[in-house]
Order: sequence, then structure tokens, then C-alpha cells
Amino acid sequence: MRRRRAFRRGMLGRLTRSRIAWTVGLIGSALVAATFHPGTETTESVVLAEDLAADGPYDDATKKKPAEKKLIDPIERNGPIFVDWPRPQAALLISGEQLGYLEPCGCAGLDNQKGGLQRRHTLVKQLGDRGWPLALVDLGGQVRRYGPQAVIKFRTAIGALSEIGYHAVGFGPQDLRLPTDELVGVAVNLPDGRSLYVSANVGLFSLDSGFVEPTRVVTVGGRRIGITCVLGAAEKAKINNQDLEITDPAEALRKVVPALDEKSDVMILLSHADPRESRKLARQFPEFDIIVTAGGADEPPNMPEKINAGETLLVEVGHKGMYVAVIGLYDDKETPWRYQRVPLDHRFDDSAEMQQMMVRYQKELETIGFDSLGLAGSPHPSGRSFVGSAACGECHTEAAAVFKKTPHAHATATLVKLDPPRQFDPECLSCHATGWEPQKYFPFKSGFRGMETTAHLRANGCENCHGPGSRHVAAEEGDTDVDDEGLERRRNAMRIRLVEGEAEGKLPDGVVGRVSTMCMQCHDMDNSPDFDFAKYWPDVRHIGKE
Amino acid sequence: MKTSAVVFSSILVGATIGFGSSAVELGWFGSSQNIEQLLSVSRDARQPDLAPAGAPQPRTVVDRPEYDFGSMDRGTKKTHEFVFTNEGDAPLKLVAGDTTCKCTLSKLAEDEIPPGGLAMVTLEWMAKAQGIDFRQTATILTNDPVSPRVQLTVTGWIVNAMRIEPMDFVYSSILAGTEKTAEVRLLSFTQDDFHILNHRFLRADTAKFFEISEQNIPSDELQAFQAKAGKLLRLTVKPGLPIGSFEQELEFTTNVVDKDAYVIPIRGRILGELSIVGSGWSRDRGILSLGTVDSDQGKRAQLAVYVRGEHARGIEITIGKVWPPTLQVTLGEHKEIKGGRVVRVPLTIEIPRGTPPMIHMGSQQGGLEKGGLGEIILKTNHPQTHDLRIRVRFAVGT
Repeated sequence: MRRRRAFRRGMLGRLTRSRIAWTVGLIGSALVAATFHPGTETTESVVLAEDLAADGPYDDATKKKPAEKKLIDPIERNGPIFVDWPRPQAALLISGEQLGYLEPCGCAGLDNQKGGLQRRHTLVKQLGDRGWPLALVDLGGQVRRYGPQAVIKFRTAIGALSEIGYHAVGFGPQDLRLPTDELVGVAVNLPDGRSLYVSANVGLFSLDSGFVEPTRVVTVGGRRIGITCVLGAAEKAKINNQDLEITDPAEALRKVVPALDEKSDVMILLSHADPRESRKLARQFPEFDIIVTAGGADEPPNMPEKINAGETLLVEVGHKGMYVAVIGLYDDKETPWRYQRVPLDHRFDDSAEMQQMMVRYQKELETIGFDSLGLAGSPHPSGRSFVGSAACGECHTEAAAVFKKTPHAHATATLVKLDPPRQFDPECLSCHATGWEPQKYFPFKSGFRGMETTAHLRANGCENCHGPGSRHVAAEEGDTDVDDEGLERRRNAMRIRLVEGEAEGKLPDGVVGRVSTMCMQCHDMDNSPDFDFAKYWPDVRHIGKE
Repeated sequence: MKTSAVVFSSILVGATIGFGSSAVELGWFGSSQNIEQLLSVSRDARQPDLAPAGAPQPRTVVDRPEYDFGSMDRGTKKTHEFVFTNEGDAPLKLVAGDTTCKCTLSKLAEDEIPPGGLAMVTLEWMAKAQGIDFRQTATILTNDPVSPRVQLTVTGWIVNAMRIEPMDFVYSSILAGTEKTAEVRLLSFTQDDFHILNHRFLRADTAKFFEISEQNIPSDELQAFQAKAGKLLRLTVKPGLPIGSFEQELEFTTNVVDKDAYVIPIRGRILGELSIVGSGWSRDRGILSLGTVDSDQGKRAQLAVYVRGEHARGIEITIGKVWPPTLQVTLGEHKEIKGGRVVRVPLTIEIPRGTPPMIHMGSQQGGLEKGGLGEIILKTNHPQTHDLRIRVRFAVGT
């Protein structure tokens, strides 16, 4: 099948030159590695400690001095990459299912996390600097949620992909739940005026509206890469948007594949479907050399799956933008392609351009404000209001002393000191201030609104676990008329108790304690992957009034 | 020139060229087993010294380096023993390397395997990831030059007592005055006899605009999800909600006992026949936020007016009022979409470079009408919507 089959056949090529370079270059690589090695440094935990006073009402006299932490070595953790790779004739860099993670997933320490557009851009620049001809494609799935912040995030992500130099971007179902006019607005406002969207079976408003191209051919390194994308049939059921035209993926492919085949040396299908449906498409359309599938686990496999007797590669890219896949194409009969799963860990510096993009993103959140983000706040189901941890500390002095020693006490100030600051970002604030719903990124009406306007609600305060304290405080301070029974009832409403065995970590498998469940609203797998209640509890252990 | 000098020069030039080429081609990536060895010496004290060339070699063989745990209940642990065999002629040294952050590599029972011997390496994982499918890996470092890093992988999927698919009701757009229905599936993985005990809408003020119904999910569909039972919830949004975004929450309890109550978010948007979209525009508040603008830079916002329905094709839009006059407003060419049922009109609003300092941030500080906000009014020939008002929040500084 013309040149495209060179992908499979290959020719003997650059091997000899590569081996010479490899042999003599050992020293160079060792030097580069030695230079790169970051050694032992302190991390953000030091900054956290410095923030303690900034979140007042507490002073920093009792703050806990953080232990110095050795940075995780990315190559020890995630392994070397591109081992034995000569420079490819052309290379495909494949990403997808970023799911809203513009930055590395979670906040468990940057050296412990993977992902982020800043690192991805650095990888692309480094490959480009080394003369690798690159085709950049993204499966889609830029966002996970719905609402004004998701729209801003989608716009930011597509703008970033354009700036990085992507050639084609598909759609995930979450993208297509956003208002269609917003999706169009993003497409037509890109700097060169050319939409990045490619899909054979999704049209914004209609298939012929012109905002989405069914296929695209990109020539890199002399190879014509034919690209198309489909949204899986099962994914369509997740979308309820009358301003879209979505057709059956197989039918759509039948229409575009013959022409694309004529124009391409290598064909790639971005299949936003689960692996089962993608495999089925692979069997139906063996013309594709590479099929990139959605779904699967967060961490993609080390190597692609071979289907159609090894003629088609099924590639997973995982979730949250933690990895990208790179496929090198060679004129080499023995090795026509090489595959590398690239962990976007901190071996890659942040690119200045993407860092500026994050600054603009945070600035837009600040400018537009909570009300315009649809975050006016809802009443707390208890009917009570948040009063702030200082009010709690007036009576619960010993518990407050414990609280002061923990990072919870300066959680909001931590956001202020980040670059760019994040105190206007609901997705951060929901665990870094008092009076928000952690997993819904939504404030209660009496919750934190701003560093100055609600200074008493800075920090991840007592009431995030114990509930709003207004009635309890009013009763204790004699501001409301309650008898002893009412007083006790209000105290009881604030109490949460460990279940037997919870503090010792001796609950049966599959059972999570009541307090642990509360903690895990924020100490989730993204933000606190090593969270272990029994280990953490001694540092925060407190009893109402001792 | 003496022969020795020529030879020396050739070596020097060759080494320099080779070094440069290598740095370009291989760079920081780490590159081959030999590169790996150098990296290991300089970077990872745990890596055993690789067996030297020419000496007897160990040879690592792992029986199935990837293992599928299959289904796991959330919060439970499973372990697997990987079998390492040394099919070489020298002792094989094993050292535990790193793992992905969510699994545990046990202390190695044996850290050296004699030729022909074998050893077990145990990987433990607790099913607490957020997703359904999981893949976790651990690395074993060896002194085998062919396999200095061996990656062990466990895969599987996590079973919750119940799953909500998708996790929310989203209505991307509902034309004002019409109703729309969306579906969510509740899937039970533990109870054959699964039913909803009760439900309520948490936001009482708009609850009357939502209507819910349920039906059993057919068995063939359940099999596709590998679920034991399930309910299909159909939620209809009835006419009457105001134009703009809406939010609601559906709380319900079931006879699945792992949680007191479940809450499904409900979100969407009611559209009028005319709407504006673009960066910085809040459709709910009718405000375009441009923030603080440097006079030397100026700022431009690219918006668009969308017109839907029977009046779309014949729509005419003109610029009415612009305040302050320094704002430059431009309407672009109409584009008909969906056979003329939707029309898109580009709208550009610009604060030109060199605009003198001014404040229009929504307070009285600016001393201008509408509390200091700027204002643009677009005139239309739509029979119901004669004016489209855009309030503009910005400040210009130097």
C-alpha cells in the first residue's frame, strides 16, 4: 500500500550512524545526566511553614518545623526514556484525556506528580531542538466538569495546544457537553484562524458548519500522516446537547477512510471510545496503522497493544495528562517504529510560555469572579453559618493549639504564595479555605469569599469537618435563648467520633471510618495519594475540650 | 606531521564530533544500557553493579511481568507473587526500585538468585484509586546488563457497591420555553434486588421545574456494565426556568448500604433566541470583564452573538449605544449555520492602545452611569429582543 507500508516494512537506515553517535556520546549523556540531577533540596513544605502566620488568627510561635525532604529522582522513579532511539524520520506525539488537569495532577508535591502543559511543551521543544520532525495530536477530553470554569479551562487548553503547535485535536464527551457556541468561539479565535478540531462524526451545530474538519493530513519528515477522529457510540449517550450533530462512528469512517488512505503514508485514528469499541473499529478499518483509544487506566501500558496480526497499534495515553506517547517512524525494515510512553515528571522544566498561560488562566478566574463562575453559594444543609476557627479556639484552646501546628492552619496562604497565586481558583479553594464543598468545588453562602472580605475563614478550619458553628457559638456565648438540653444538643451537633479501630488503622478491609471519610474529601488520590489516617491522625489528634 | 600526531588529532576530532552528535541525538533522555549504567552509577545508589562484559552473566526471566487482579472491591487489598528466575551463569542481584505511588513492593525475600535458582517478588495493592480501571507498576533493579530495570505491573478494575453513569445530569442548552430530558444510570454491583427508597431536589426554589421517573435497566445492558441491577433515571427540565445557567441537586437513598445518601448534580443553561459568548463574558450577569488594562497595550475581546430559531436568518444587528466612547465595537459578517436555523455574528470590543486612565469597575468611583460600568447596546430587529445590553467592567492604567 504505497509509502504508507513503509511504516511496517521500513528500510535499513540510520542505524550505523546512530551507533557511532551512541558510542561516542556516552560521555555526553553522562555529563548531561549529572548536570540535570537535582540532588537534595527542600520543597514547598518550607514555604508552607513560612505561611503559617499569614493565615492568622494564629501566630507562628508553635508552628511545626517541617522535615527536609529529598526530591524524588524522576528517572529513578519513572525510568529513562528513548533508550536506544536514533533520530526518527518522523515522530508522532500523542496526548489525550487531560480531564481538566492543566497542571500536574494534585498537590502532593511537584516532584511526586506527573503531567501539566508546561512540561509537555518543554518535551515538545526539546524534541524539536533535536531535529525530530513531529506531528502532534490530541485525543480530546480537555475537561471533566461542566460550567463556566470548565469553559475557561477548555479555552485555555485549546489555546495552549495551538501555541504548542498541535496539528489536530479531537473531542471527548465532556468537551461536547460545554455550550457549542463556546466551542466554536474557541475555534475561530485561535491566532491563525484555523480550527484545531478534527472529527469524522461530530459537527458543531452541523457536520457541514465548517468548524470541524473530518480529516487532516500533516506532512512531517517526508511522511504524510493522515489523521481522523471519532467519538464512540457509547460516549454519545453521555452528551445532551442539541447544538451538535453526531453520527455513528463506523459509518462516518466508511465515508472518510478511502480518501484519507489515498493521501496518507501513515494513518492514525483518534478514537474517543473505550478500548473495546476502539478494538472493534480497528478490526473494521485495518487501513489505520495506529489507533489511539480513550478509557483504560490512569497509567497507560508500557507498550501499545498489537491487533490485526500486529499490523495495527492500539495506543492508550492514560488520564490527566500524566503521560504522552511518542511513536518514532523509521526507514528500517527491522524496526519500522519505536514506542515510548513518556512520563511528564519533573525531569522536564516548566515552559515559560505555558507558565504565562497559567497566569492568564488564573487572572481570568480572578477577573470574572465567583458570581460569574456560578458560585454564588448555597445555604448549608444544617441551616447554620460558618464563624471561623478563631471563634472555636476561644474555648477549645488545646484543640486550637494542635490545629496551629498543622498545614491546615495556613492552607489559604499557601495558595497566595504560589506562582501564579491560586486564591481565586475554586478548584483549589474548595480544600484550602473554610466553608466550601471539597469535591464539588462549590462554596456555602457563609463560606470563604476572599482574603479580606472573609479573613476569618482563611485556612482549612475546624468547621470543614465539624460543620458550621454559628448556633453552637451563639448558644455558648448567651446570644440565643436555649436551655441546658438545647445547649447540649448544639454541642452534639458539632461532634464527630472515631469508630472503633479507626485511629489504630485496624478497620477491616473495605471499611472506612467516619472521620477518615471526612479527611479523604481533600486527602484524595490526586492530592494525598499516600494518605493513611492511622499515620496522619497523631499529628492532628484533638478532643473537643480536654 | 608525525603519524602519532595525526592519529591523536583524528581521535580528538572523532570524539568531539561523536560527543556533539550524541548530545544532540540522545540528550538528557538516558539512552542505552551503557547510558543506563552511567546514569545508574551517577544517580541511583540502589542499582547493583552490572555484570562486566566478558564475565559470566546473570539472565533475568520473569514469568508474566504483568498480572491482572481482575475485579476488586474498593478498599480491599490483593497481592501477587512474581517469579524471578536466573537463567544465566552468574548470580542475579535484585534490589527494590520505585513503585507508582499507590502500590507497595514487599521487601525482597531473596536479594540474590544463584544461576538456575528462582525468587518471589510480592506486589501488594489496595484498591483505593478514583477510577474504575487501574494499572500500577513497580521496578526491580538488577545486575543483569540486558534487563537492568524490570517493570512489574498489576492491572484490574475496582467494583463499587454502586455507580452513577454519567455522574451528573447536564443540559448543554435548552431553548427557553421548551423542555428537555436527560438520563442517568444507577448501577448496583452488589444487590440483585436494587431499588430507590426516596428522593428529593435539594434546591426547593426551583424544584417544581424538574420531574424524575425511573425504570429498570434491561438485563443485556446490565451485562455490558457487568452490573447486577440498575435503574434508568429520566429527568425532565420543564419550561419556566429563567434564561441563564441553572443548578439543582437530586438526593436519593437506595437499599445499597454503603452510603447514607447519593447526590447527583444537575446543571444546564436556558438559552434565549439571542445569546452572546466569548472570553470574559458572563451571560448570567450580562457583564464583560476585561480587568485592568495597560494603556500602552490596550485589550481586545472577541465575542459572538448567536441567534437561534425562526428569526435567525433575517436577523439584523447594529451598534446602538457605546459608553465610554473610547470603546471600539465592531460587528463582523453573519454566518449561517445549520441551514440558517442558527446565525453567528462576530463581535469585537476593544480598548485601544493609548486610552487614557479610567475606572469602570462597577463602583461609583468612576463617577459614570450604571455604577461606573461601561455599557454597549446592540439594536436588533428581533420581534421580542430589541436591545442586547453588554455591561463592560474594566480599568485602564499606565
